[in-house]
Amino acid sequence: MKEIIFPGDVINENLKPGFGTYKKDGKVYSKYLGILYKDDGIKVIPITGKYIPKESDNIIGVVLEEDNFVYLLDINSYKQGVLFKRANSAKLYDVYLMRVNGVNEVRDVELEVISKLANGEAVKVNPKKVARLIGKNKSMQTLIETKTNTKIIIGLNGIVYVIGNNIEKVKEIIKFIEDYSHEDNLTNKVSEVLDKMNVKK
Amino acid sequence: MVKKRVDGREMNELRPIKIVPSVIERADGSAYLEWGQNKMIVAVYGPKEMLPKHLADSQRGKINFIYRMAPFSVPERKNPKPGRRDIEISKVVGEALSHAVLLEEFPGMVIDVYVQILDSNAGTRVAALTASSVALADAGIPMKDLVTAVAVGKANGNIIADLNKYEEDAEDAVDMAFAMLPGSEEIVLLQADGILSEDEFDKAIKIAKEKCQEVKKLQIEALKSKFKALKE
Repeated sequence: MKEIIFPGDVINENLKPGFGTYKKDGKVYSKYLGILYKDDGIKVIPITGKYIPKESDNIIGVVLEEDNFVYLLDINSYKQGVLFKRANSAKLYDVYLMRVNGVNEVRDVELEVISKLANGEAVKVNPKKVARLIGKNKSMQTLIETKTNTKIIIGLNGIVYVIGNNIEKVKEIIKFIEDYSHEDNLTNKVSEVLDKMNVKK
Repeated sequence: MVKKRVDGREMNELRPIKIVPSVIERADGSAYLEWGQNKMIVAVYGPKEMLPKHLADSQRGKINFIYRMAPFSVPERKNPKPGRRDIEISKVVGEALSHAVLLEEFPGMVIDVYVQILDSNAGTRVAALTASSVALADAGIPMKDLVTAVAVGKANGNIIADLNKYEEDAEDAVDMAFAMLPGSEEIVLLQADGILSEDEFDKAIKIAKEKCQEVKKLQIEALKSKFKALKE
């Protein structure tokens, strides 16, 4: 069982403090309600929250609005993503796989389209659980893809694009991963649940 | 025979507190709180871009705290239009929260916190503060610490914790809203009316600090319930 931690808790470890911690008077505290990881340094992964844009991340966005010059996209972050009309032509509710080319101090993102996604469904995931959904060396993603015979494209911002016939099953398993992401051996447990689900290929 | 209070409580006993996190699906974070007879719902949205833009601070984020009482929350209908009291509480509680939230991580952005009081019986501002700090943690917003709050005061010559409406209306009543960050004991809200001697004030603060630690345990208990355990 991983350790649950609350905002303001003191972390008594002689490891390098990383994401989700702050220092005050020589002590290290947690910033978030979340789970404490102690590998080569300390980090606290919050239980939920919005996507914090980072350069060179691959993300997925959905076009929600347009005006004379730009398209505004939902990218699950603090602000909307912006694509310029002079460089792209899109329709409302189009889904794009994009690369974050830059982020400034006020968290505006600069986006570059990699490809347009079609014939599937965009599913929202808690952005803080995306790492668990991918797994080590994509183990979790591959497991779900092979057992449900679908193709899953994961945006690091917590929007997942699923292509295939078993989309509902994939949604169920994503919900399971979100709910139990603090458990150990998650890949095995997901594998068991998938076997129980009896997915037709 | 030990003297007891109107409702049978000990001198520094809190009313029963119940906190349930994540009650509003659409909000980023939320909480429901019952503190004795007080009932309220808190919803947190954000951080998001602050609009209109001229209100935004380019150095740090802001908390937009909105405290409203339902018309049916008091015996005589309350006018739903925000009054002087609603605006005051929104201001002081929002400022108390901004000492705990790490707002410098969100330049130009705003966090909306809405509190709706459904039922009230003295001490709603401290209850609202306690509940909104649970809702903020539930929304995954970085904080220095949880904020815990409690009311202390004086009624009928005794220094007591967590006054109810009868005690608040006593002749010599003092109602002191108190909030702090339990880790560092940093006081973030202190409001009082009435007259206290210096000794009484020190005693009241001491009780308040003790009681805040008690409230923190309940907040932690509530937040723990967010993590489901997988049954084998």
